[in-house]
Amino acid sequence: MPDAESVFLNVPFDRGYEPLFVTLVGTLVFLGQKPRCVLEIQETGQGRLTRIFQLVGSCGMSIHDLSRVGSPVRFNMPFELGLACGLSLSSGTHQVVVFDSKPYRLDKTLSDYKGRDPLLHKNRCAEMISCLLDLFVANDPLPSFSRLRNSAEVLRSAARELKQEMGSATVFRAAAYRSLVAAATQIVVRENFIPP
Amino acid sequence: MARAQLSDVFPHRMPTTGKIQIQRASASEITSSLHISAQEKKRASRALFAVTAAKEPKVLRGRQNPSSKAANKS
Repeated sequence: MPDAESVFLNVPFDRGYEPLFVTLVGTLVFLGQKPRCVLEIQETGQGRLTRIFQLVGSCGMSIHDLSRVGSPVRFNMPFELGLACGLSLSSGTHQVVVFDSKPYRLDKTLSDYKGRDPLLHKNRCAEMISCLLDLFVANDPLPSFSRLRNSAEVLRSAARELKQEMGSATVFRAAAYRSLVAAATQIVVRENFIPP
Repeated sequence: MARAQLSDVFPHRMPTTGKIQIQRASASEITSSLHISAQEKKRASRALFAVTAAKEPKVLRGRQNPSSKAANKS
């Protein structure tokens, strides 16, 4: 059975997307979700595809950001969306969420998906937070937009510090990613968004 | 057939709002699910401390070096 609080992230790993990625990861943690992504997967001989499929299957939800459609063409994100939709249709225990940055574009690039509006982050961090607040509801009230925005800003600054300490140009590495999630959990405890 | 069933991709969404009902994990559940090491937690603490220090340099200078506080008093 998948973990209801685990969210698989199928997003672009490019420099321009990094602030959005940090905001997405942080906001999910601030809302008590467990962000999971392929950065955690190391090759162990089982085959990367099998391990990606297992990771998606272990999550109750997946977020697919299809906002990068320019050159060079990237097939990984629509491919993993297909895996997640197949899983959802066959198991009924996996929810699929699609993000984009521009309205109506998905109607042209992925017409099979027509009838479902993607959430639009417009390549802005604040909009990313709004998308997640639009998407989720919980029994207890969720943290306010302004508190989430301030916390995400702190996390983006922390990401810069982490990269500097690790001598890394990016957070899209396993250790940097786990440190980023650790920083988000420390913010969440400090802000009392969820229990420690 | 696949198209007819595409709407079933979201079986747990609230039918009127389209929102997803979530349960919230604790911070320790999040760190354990990602197998975050003690070293990674410490690195995260240092990064957050540096961010706070950059915002509040005067206050944190005192905190980093308690002896300077005593020296100021005397």
